[in-house]
Amino acid sequence: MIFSGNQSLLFKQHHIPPASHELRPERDQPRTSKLDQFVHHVASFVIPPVQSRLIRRKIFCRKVHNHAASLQGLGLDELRKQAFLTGCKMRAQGFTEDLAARSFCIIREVAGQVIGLRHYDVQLFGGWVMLNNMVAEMNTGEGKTLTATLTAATVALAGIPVHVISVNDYLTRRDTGEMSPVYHALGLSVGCVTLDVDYADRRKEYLADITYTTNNDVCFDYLRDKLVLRDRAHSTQIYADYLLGQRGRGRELILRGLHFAIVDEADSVFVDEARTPLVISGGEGNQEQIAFYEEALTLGRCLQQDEDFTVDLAKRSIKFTDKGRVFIKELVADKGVAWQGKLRREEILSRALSALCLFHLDEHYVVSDGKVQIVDEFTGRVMPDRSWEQGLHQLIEVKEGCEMTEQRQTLARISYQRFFRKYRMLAGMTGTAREIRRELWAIYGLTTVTIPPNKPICRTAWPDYLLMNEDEKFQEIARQVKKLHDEDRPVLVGTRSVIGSEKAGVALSAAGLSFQILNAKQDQKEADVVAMAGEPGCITIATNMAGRGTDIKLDPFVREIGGLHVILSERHEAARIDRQLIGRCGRQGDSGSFQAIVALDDLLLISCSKCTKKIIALCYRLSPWLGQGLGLYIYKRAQKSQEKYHALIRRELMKQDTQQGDLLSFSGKVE
Amino acid sequence: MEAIFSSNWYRVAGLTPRLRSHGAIVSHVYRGKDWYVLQDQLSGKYHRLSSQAYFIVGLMNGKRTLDQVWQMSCVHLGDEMVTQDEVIGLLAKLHRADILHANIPPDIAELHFRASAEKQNKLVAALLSPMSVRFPLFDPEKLLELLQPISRLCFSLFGAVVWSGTLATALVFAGIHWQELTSNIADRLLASSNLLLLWVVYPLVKILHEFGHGCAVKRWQGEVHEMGIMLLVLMPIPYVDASSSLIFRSKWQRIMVSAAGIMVELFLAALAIIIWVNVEAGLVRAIAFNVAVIAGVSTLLFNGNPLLRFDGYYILVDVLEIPNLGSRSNSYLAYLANRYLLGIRTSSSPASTPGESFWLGIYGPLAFVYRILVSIRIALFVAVKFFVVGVILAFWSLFNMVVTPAYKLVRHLFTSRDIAKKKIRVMVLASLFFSIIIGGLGVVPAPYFTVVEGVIQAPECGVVHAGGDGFIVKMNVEDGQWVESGDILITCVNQEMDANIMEIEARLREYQARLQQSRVTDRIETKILQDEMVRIEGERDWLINRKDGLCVRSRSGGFFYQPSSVEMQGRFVRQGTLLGYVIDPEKMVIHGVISQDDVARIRNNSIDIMVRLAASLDKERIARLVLHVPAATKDLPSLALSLEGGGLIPLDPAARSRQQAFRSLFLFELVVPDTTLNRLNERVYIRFTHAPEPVVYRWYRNIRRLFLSRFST
Repeated sequence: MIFSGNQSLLFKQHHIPPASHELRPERDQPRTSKLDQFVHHVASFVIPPVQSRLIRRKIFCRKVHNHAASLQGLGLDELRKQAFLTGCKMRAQGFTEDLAARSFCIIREVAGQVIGLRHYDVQLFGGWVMLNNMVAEMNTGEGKTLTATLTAATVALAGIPVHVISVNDYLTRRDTGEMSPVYHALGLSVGCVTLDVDYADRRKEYLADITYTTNNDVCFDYLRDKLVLRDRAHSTQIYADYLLGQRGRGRELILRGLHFAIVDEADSVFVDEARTPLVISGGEGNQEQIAFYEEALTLGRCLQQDEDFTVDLAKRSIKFTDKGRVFIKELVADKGVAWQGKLRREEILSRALSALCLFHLDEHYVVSDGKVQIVDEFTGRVMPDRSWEQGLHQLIEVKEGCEMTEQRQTLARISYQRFFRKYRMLAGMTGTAREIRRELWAIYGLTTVTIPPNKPICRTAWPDYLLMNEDEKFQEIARQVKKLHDEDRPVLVGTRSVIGSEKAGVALSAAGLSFQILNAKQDQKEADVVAMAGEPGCITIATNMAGRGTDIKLDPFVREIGGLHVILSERHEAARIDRQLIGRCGRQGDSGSFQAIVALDDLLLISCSKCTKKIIALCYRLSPWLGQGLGLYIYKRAQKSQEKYHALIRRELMKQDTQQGDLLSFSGKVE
Repeated sequence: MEAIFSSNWYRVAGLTPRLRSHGAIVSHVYRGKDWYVLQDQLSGKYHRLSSQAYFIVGLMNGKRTLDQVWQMSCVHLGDEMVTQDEVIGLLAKLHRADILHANIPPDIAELHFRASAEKQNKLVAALLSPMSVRFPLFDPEKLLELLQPISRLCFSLFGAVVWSGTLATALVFAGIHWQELTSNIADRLLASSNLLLLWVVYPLVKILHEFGHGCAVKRWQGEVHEMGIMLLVLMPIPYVDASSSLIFRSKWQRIMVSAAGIMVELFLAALAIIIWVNVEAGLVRAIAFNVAVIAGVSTLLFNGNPLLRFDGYYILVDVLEIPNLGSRSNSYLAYLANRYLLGIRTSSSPASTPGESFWLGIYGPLAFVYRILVSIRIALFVAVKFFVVGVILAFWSLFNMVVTPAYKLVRHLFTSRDIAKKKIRVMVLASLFFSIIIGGLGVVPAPYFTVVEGVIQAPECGVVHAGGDGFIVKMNVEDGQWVESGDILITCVNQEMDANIMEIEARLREYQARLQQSRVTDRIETKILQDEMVRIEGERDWLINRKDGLCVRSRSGGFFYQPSSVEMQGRFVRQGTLLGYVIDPEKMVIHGVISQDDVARIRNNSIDIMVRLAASLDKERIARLVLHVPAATKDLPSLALSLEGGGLIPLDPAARSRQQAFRSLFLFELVVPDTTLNRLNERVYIRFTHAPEPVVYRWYRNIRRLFLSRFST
């Protein structure tokens, strides 16, 4: 796809256009032929391995250490001056190994003096990897936030605006607060854009050398700019307007181009969330529509499941039977014009039925303040800005008796895949990337480099358990938790959905244990609760992603008795996300342990045939040992095949996206 | 379930599109359904629109937004409404055809990309099918305009009467002179003297053929803007671009355009036959013969064949009213496979009527098989002249027709989302398929046999030769009389031999007298004379023996037959001359020949041998191998086995003897127990059955032998 810039071999830097609202530089997506794609694919076997070889960890770290002597004992003012001088040199020469080492060394000194944290060697390496536009895979707890300062400050010193992007407002604000002193000491300005920042202020915040923001915010800001630019959003048109002296629009724009982004939790931003496009929509709803949706829902309730329609849970789709089709036709015979087209009425009814049968309260959405809010299935978080498209949202609102929001028209949309490829330079960091190495290359042209841990990992895997059904599973979890609780060890139970966490809570209460639940409903307190999770005897239930990015600090006593124990109550569709949960224990060389306690009726096995399940159950009755072995094997297989399936879907979406782009070239609008 | 709404709608909803002024639309009826053909008068391209699409295009007037257009179409079309995605698809198609005008400036980069991509595609297409590359040469529009009066005249009632009259006359003539016309046609056509003529006549006939198409298009006010040369199997053939006939409303006019070429050629063939019948042998007659053959035979077999993408195909397409028969047939087969093999029920059938599905289902496989056969034939044909080119060609066609589609299929199976859900089914089907293929070809032993020809001949002992030189004085037995072993068959006399014997006996007596005399006087002399006498006695015995041989005896029991009916008595025969056969039908043998290629297999690996006699092919008899000559020879046991004699073995034209084969052969002798073989020199088909063996080994051996023999010389 992208065959320049990002994966340009090390050290070579491109001409960097000035950051300005008028020019708004970003990378254009070149059209690629099949041959280009083939070459890009072949390159995935060559360039990433070569690139990760060319990054010379020990040599680079030694270079940084060499600079340390000359900076010894310098005061902050002197360091700032040095930083400025290095920045000037970088503007002329680019990010050469020597200059980057000097810059890193200065930043490390400053960080040591200002916030008392000096970067470890592995962090220096991580920063260097990111400076070369790659993804650094660093274990949880290795200090990614601190690592990012090296890259961000270095790039900013060279005069390039940097966006440091993380997944939620809390982390963004926290990171800004913690790291600002370092940047300020280096003479760099820092901005922070979160959901609650006014549009008027956003422009100012983005003007800072380094801006901390969330993926959601920066992407929406980009779309808003797009709406301002309307039909003249293509870079050629922007340059043309600039040359013609039509500069007025610049004042209305928020961003001044997409230059350098460091993306935290790169896997979830680049891959998991990449599937859902971000949409800005505007006004224009009408009363007719409301009546129409209400009618649709009423009609939907008249239809019998399995008789008039079938529900495919695995594919999450509704299918009408022939009988149902006839029945629908009879039902709508006396309804208005809107119901007369066969395709149209079946489409809207299938949506109504999806709203009734496929989307459930507290699993797919929550209702708060009389509003339906989507819960992200992957992260378990409430997504206040999002809404389902094409009437589904309204149907669910009718279903829950909320006041119906107006269905609004799409004004602009973009997927993360497209958005992040527009950055002139892109880097990422995450705890888990090696499974999606290929995809990161294929889509973003990013090489993944694994950063070794600072201290060796001493985390032990306890044997997994497979149980026949959910009830047994939660009982087993409660038993296990109780056992550990009696030893005073803290336990973290990870669940996949909000409902799962509540069920786990019920089981633990029944066992007479007190615990704290972290799920999408309790966004604010999350960090505090997670921080407490390392106290002796503390029991925490959390959806897989809740409180991600927050360190669980262990009590010294806990460290001695074996550290935090993590129980996976259900495996996720991607092993990567399980690894993130497991990464909560045994950070920074601490001791810790984990195990999975799963059941045959978990969501992951939904595509598994009933026959297979029966065989497992039978084996289990014959010999629990055999049943366990077989069952866990099949469970792993199911996870693998799900991973593959999702990768396939993402690839297809990507392909469709490109095809659609080609198809829509007549519209003159670029996404 | 198709979604009516498209998430991309917002990008196009506000456009106010309309067609550019150079797009013209006419309606066609295919199988009772209305279709509309959109012609781009600038580029000469055509696009077929469904009636729904036509409706939408009709609503686009440059003032309505696309959203309004769509809403209006929803209201009007009711159950047949189109989805937003379909509208986008339609607009994209129009945009790619450059006949869409909208209220936005054109995207120059996109236009450029599209143009260069198109150029690339053309190149790739040429590379992918090196068997048919086109070189456009000139625009025949003006020329055809001049010919307009002629086209009017030809494609009229008058023309039809003349055409069918000529054809009928020629058919009658051809019927009368059928024997003369068709005898040894291949030899006459490919004789070296004729090849030059062929080279001159062929392009002329084909040019007239193409002008036939061109005039037909002009006749109904179409336009022809491209004429050139196409390299079909490296052979230059003219072509015209008659695609503007697509816009003709009547399907008979379209059929007429497609058929015009063939009709011209048939007319030429008819004229040629009439000339050929009526002129004396000479150049004109030779030309007429060539024209008749090219125009009559090659046209009907080649251009008229609907399985190849030539005139016949387009005629069939219009007769059946199934546009794009070939490609739609392929997608129909894909649909069938998806639905019934993989059980994916989401796709909809490309066939809109049951009749259509029949044709779609049958055309694809037939055309595929036929095309493979034709490619193999072409490759073999070329391989005879240029072996390496032929082999490359064969591999290239194989690659294009089998490997590429197979690769695409496999890739589709691995990457399609629908199929990902049916993994087990796909795996079972694929393994079933491959196990059948691999098992059928590589594991399951298939019956294996070699068939050669032989002749019935008398065994060695049944052949009667003259025992010495002499005159036949008496035939002791009648032709066809039964004789026993040892019976005297023919008596010959050799008076010279008789004289010799008398002379030797006289000499013997002389020696005897001298011996008696010397026995008293000289002992040494006695000894010498004794030795000499022994020698002379030996000589006498030998002569007597030969004299006995003059009396030919039968060495076996059987019927005596003379080889010819010529009177034997009084003829002088040399020793070894064939005098006749003593044939016992119970003891006849079959002499067969095997080529060197087969000899090892037949010698080492024959389970049983069956023979069929030419006179009674229905009956199979078991035979037994009695003699296998271990040395190769070129001498044929009988001329009946040679190509000239109706057999399979080519003779060596340079050899002095008539019975020399071109290649070395191995001889063997079979007997057929319990069977009367009484027809001497009758042809026999001999089948050696070998141990059953999977087919793959055989292919491997054959291919290896082919290459070894080709590259060793």
